[in-house]
Amino acid sequence: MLTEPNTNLSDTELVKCCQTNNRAAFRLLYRRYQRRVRSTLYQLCGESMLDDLVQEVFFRAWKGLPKLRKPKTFSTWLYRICWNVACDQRRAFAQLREQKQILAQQEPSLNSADLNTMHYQQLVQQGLQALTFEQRAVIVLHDLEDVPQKEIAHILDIPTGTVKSRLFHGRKALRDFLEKQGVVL
Amino acid sequence: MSHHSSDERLVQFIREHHPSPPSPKENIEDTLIAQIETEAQPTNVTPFPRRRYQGWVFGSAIAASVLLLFTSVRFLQPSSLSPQETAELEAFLIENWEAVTMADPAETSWFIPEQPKSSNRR
Repeated sequence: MLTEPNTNLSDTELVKCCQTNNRAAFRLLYRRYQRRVRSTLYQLCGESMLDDLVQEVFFRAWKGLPKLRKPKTFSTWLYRICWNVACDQRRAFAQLREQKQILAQQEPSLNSADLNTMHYQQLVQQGLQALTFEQRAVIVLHDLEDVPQKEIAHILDIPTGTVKSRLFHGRKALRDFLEKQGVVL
Repeated sequence: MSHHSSDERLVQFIREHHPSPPSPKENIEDTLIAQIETEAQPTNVTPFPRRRYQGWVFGSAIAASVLLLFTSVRFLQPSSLSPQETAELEAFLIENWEAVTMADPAETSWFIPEQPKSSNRR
């Protein structure tokens, strides 16, 4: 049984413990990664059902851990599960997202008289929501989660060139959106 | 204004102002662990993954086949004769040949059916 002082164990060691059915080790992995998973899912899917999605990611991770042959790639593998869960929920959230986009388009006109009062967080959120799902994933992983491009390519199962392309177009769209709202970058 | 610095400012801006997710429910961690204990039973975890096991089986099968082929080729090959055996074989062939070519016709007379001696009776 692992206790708190063992939190300095590496991912590889914890994964190996989990593969011997050690739930305490998995609890430590959860604590280590839940913020990143939560943040990524939030940027990709929004607030609705966030707790359930986080739980789903870690549940799938637990079930899949016996098949993870390279424990050192755990974080990349976990992001991949995250991406899969987000994709699975995409259709369910499509309608909600469309509504948010409509609101996002309406809101600037309501507040255009006084852009200074607009909250930057809200703008960034709206900007991210305005991107395509694929572009948003690359921006969130690369610019917010600091995941290298090569790893993103592996997580999303796309060539590195496509990651670069989505990053370029995603940033451009986000910049255009923010500048349209009066943000000077 | 370079494109690179423009990107840096954009990234800096979204990092500073990206919305944080709402706090999770207090019991989400315990719920997850409870779910794992009740539903997921990865007790069939084998330290020897199936894929690796299959690889081992196929590898062994291929190695065994190659070994069998090699040994059968070795055993089926006619082994070379020793000088003594060669000499014996040569002597046998010569003797056999001479026996065939120089055989006494009388020796094969038994092969010709005998004619009935009807003329002597008369």
